[in-house]
Amino acid sequence: MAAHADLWGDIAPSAVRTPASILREQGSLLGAKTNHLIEGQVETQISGRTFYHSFNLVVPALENYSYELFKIYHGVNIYPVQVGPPIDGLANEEAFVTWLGQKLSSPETKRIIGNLLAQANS
Amino acid sequence: MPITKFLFWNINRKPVADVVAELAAAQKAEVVILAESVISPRRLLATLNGVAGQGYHLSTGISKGITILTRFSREFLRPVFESDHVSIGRLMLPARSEILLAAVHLPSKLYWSNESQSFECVELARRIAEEEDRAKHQRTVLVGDMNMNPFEPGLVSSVGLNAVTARRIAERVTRTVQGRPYRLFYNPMWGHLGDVRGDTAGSYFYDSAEHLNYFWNVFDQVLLRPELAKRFDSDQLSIVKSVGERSLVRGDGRPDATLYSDHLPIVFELDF
Repeated sequence: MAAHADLWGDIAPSAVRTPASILREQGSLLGAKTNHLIEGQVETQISGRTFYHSFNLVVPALENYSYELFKIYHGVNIYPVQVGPPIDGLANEEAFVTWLGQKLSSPETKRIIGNLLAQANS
Repeated sequence: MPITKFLFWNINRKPVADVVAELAAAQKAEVVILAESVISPRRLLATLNGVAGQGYHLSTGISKGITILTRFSREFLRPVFESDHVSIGRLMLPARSEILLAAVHLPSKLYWSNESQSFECVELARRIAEEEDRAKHQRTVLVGDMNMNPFEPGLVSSVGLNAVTARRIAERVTRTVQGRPYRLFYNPMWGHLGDVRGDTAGSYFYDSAEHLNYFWNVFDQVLLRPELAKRFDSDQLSIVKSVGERSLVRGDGRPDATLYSDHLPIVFELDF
């Protein structure tokens, strides 16, 4: 009997940067920018074929008080990534990074972070 | 045991600070929870505390969608998890058992499918269980605008909020599905579906020319873990239709969305 042939070919991780890894990078940058008074943490849940990632602002000085800034989700194909209404899907990494930049630097996000810093410092 | 009175109202972005103040005073509410409030905190406090005998404090929570005011010092309600539509806090009143207060305004059917709403309940249930584990108790009250009726899967399913119709069932504390235990809530709002109490047959009315239409909905709900449900007095839970001389409903019993909100407030008491 012939030896079993390896039909898999080469296997390697996809070169695409996942939304979760992009969020984690931004989370660690936030820690550095706030003297680690606020940490950006990513929480991932998998339900069925969907990956949900919550981006949380965690304040260690307030007994790990946590504020969920937003949630995104995607399927096995990673992109498009869903960020919730009114935006449909973001088709690729570039679109996701653009959206994320607007979200993280928005006046609403600044208000929340400002409030958390005030409480963490009080 | 001492009793604490709670008031919840989705005020639909209306400038109704004076009505909230009258309502809070008339109901002697110690905890006032508002959804969809765009009234500035300063105006809200000034109006509520302008009514004689009031002394409300604004919670330290920063949720965009949920505003909480208490007639006791804000230090007794410590937020532990928030988002723009959820606020979970530990309520620690002197000489009382600690409870977890979860206030929510879940996504609307205008933007989310029924399935997505259900998945959000799964997420909320997981979050609540996590905070219960951290607090080392399960004395939790969940109140808010669920944007779902008590009979919808998100509210009823084991992986969702697992909220049952009768406290005798909730007394089991958990129910097991496929070998996995799921914590139960008791949902007393089942008793407020329909017109047994008059023309106002729910907390929210929606009419549309489509095949499936409930007309009256009970989106505004309070859910209790078994330990709190045991001492819960159903007679003290009501959907509020008037404040003094002011009627929050029209002649046909529907919420007066022009003058006030398209949702009616709910009030209830907790003994803990």
